Amino acid sequence: MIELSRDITFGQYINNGSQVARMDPRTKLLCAVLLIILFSFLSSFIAFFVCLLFCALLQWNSRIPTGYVLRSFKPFLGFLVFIFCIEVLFYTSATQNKTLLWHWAFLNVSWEGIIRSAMTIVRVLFLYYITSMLLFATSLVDLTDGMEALLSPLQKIGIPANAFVMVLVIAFKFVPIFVTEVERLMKAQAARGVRFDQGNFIQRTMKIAPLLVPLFISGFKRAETLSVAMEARCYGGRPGWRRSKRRQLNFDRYDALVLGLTLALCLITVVINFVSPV
Amino acid sequence: MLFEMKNVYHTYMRGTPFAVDSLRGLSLSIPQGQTTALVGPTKAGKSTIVDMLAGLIKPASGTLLFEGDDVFASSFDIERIRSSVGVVFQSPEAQIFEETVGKDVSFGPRRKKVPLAESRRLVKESLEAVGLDYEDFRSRYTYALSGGQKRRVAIAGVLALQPRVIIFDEPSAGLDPRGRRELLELITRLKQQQNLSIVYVSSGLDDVIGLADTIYVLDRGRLAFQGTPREILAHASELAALDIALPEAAQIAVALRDTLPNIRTDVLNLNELEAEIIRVEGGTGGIPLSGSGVSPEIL
Repeated sequence: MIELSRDITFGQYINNGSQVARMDPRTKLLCAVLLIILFSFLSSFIAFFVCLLFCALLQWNSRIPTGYVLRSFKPFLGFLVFIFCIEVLFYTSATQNKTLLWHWAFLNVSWEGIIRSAMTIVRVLFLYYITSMLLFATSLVDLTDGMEALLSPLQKIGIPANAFVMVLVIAFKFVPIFVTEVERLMKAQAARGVRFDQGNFIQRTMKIAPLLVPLFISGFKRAETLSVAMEARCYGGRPGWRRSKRRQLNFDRYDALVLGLTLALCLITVVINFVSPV
Repeated sequence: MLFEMKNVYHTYMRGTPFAVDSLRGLSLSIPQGQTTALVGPTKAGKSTIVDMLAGLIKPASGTLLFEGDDVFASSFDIERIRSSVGVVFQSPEAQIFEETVGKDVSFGPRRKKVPLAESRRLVKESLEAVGLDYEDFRSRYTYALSGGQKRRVAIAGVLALQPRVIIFDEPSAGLDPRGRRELLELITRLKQQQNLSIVYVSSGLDDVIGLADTIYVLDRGRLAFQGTPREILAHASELAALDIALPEAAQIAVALRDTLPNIRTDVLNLNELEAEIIRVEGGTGGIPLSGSGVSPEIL
């Protein structure tokens, strides 16, 4: 059966009025960036356990159904398993000091390899979680405002931050549109006898290929319409023009609390990481 | 019965914060060889029904019978529906996906591995059935066609599959009055010539009043009421409450209610409206209309 949009939930804002959703987008972005750096840096399971507690708190505060967030991991799991296997099989350590569990030709399974690969997977899961959480809890308008505010210093040295932000936002916005488009095309083809649910992996992939041409054409058409619509509303304007903001961002106590907690988390986990590096 | 829906429920994005109830306990039946219209405002669940009848989505609960067999039972071969039901979707742009008209119309036959000569004959017949010249149109690019032509090509693509039922999902949306009239004529002609069953989905009654044998009026995933076009028009005020546009003649009849309280709203066309006005006016002595200086002939 053809219902794609149910499985692809990445990046859809859920407006439930929770405290997390109402936070200042600048704080959210800042915290997200800090956490992304943190997750990329950590290499201790204990430290990640502390992060898990933080995420649980965040999850509880956001009032987004946990099952829903977890389900968005699903399309991704096969890929993770693949990465895990490759990493384990081709693990090489600098010191060559490995506990071999299994060995065949150039493929090795070592205890260290398994631990290192598990760490990679945990890291990827955390990174995915924090980015999808940011998008679940932040509306597109907020996201743009926040990014513009944070990147505006770059404007001074001649980098067009605003334009970059706009490009990014449009890209995000197009994801659900493309999903609906693919769904429509798949339905049209299914109604004319294509069976997307039959055949092996290669046959199924071949069936997707004919969707690409119409998808690209409609994508370009949309982009063209959008650019005309933006120009019609004076986007860009002249050098020296600045867009004013209808809504002012304000940093309140809850923001300070969250930022404080995030910084505390960074500090604690980094210390844990130094004390017990695995 | 061709199709029978019994107590069908459906929810989009089930289990997510975006869940939307689309059908809520809908039951209806679509007979063979007739034109059945599904009419309702937005969010009435019309497109969901279309997808379900085409075997593209599965109801959350309830049953859908195709010629007496449960469509979503494991023993049912979905190919049976796919080969006998053709769908003309809401926007023809989404339906046409090949570069040229000929390739697009022949998509179905090629999928079915129909021999080349046979496929060519089907394409020719289908294009001619929708009033497009085969030699002229077969090598044209689909993206350069006009709105009305695209719709015709989409219909031809469905006809090439030789279906027994065609579902039209708001086919006249976005067409100019002439294109719309031609489309309705085409559908009537196809039904007679090819002996098809037609399911016509529309948001207004204008298209279907002269076309349908039975009309189902839907509201928020439930059946509001059903009947022949005449029976449906008798519910003028309920239709207005659902924001369903009435056909021109019925609209005038409703507007005349202030002056002619006894006027019936179930008039199918302007001739019937005229007869009704004369009848009512004759009955009440003709005071209101001629009093206001309007003669029925002008109407």
